[in-house]
Amino acid sequence: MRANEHEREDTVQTWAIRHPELTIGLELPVHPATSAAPAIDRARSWDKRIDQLLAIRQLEDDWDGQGTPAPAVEVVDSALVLALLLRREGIEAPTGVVQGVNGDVLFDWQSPGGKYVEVEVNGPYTADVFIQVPGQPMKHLRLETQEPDEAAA
Amino acid sequence: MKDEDEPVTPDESVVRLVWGAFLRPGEPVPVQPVAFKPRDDETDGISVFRAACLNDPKDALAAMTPDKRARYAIAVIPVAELLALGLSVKPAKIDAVPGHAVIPELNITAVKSDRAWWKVLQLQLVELAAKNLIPPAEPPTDAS
Repeated sequence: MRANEHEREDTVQTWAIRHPELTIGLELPVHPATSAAPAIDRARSWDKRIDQLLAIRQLEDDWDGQGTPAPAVEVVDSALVLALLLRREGIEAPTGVVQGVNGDVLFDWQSPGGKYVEVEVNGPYTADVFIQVPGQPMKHLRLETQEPDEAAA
Repeated sequence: MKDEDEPVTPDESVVRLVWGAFLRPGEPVPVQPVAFKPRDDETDGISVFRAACLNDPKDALAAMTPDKRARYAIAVIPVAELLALGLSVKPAKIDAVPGHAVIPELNITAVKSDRAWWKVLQLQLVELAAKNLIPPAEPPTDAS
C-alpha cells in the first residue's frame, strides 16, 4: 500500500499551461483592474461554478437516461484545478459549466459582442479549447498534461 | 400523421431532445453546442424524431426513462434548414417512439476528425434549435 501511495505521488500531474498563456492564449475575459464589480461578487460567481463542478463529480452513469457515462473523477478534478488556476489569474467566471456527453466537462464563456470560448476537459489534464470571434475562423487549441519532471523543473 | 416508413421530405421538421443544463437562456449562444455532439457510441449519427410521425413533439420524450423526461427541452428544427447546412435525415426505427431518425453526417467519427469545423456547424445548429424550443418541464439545477 505504502509503495503504491509513493508511486501515485511520483506521478502527480497538472496542466501544461502557465501565465501568460493562461490568460492570453485562451483569450478568456479578464477582470479589468478598474472593474466596478465588487470582488465579493466575482468570487461568488466562481464559487457557484466550483459548486457545479462538485455536483458533476457526484454524477452517476446514465445521468441523462440515455446511458451516457458520468465524467471520471480524474477528469472533474482536472476541471476543478483548471477553475482554480483561472480564478487565481483573474479570469472572469465562465457563463456555465456542465458535463458533456462523452465523459467530459465543459466550460463556456460568452460575451455580449458574440465571442464564444469553450474549454472541453476530456481527460486528466487534457482539454480542447474552441474560440469563436465573430468574423473570424474558429480557433482550436489543445491543452496537454504537463509531465511530472517538467512540473518540477 | 406520416407513417415512419415514408421517406423524409424537406417540408418536415425534426425534434431534438436537449438536456436542460445545456441551455443558456439570455446568452448570445442560448444552447450549448454539446446538444448536437454525438456520443462515443453514436457512430451512425445523432438521434432526432420526425415531428410528422408524432401527435405532439413532446411524444419524443417517451424514448427517455420516465424520471428524466421532465429535464429535457424540445427543439423543433425544419429539415430544410438541416439540408441547407449539408446535413440529411435518415429513418432509423426504434420500438419506443415512431419516427426515430438520425443525422448521419453528425457521427462521432466525423466529428472527431475535424473538431473546429464541426463546432462551427454545431453553433449553427443551436441557433436553429433556439428558434423553436420548448423549455424543460423541470428547470435545471446546479446538480446538472
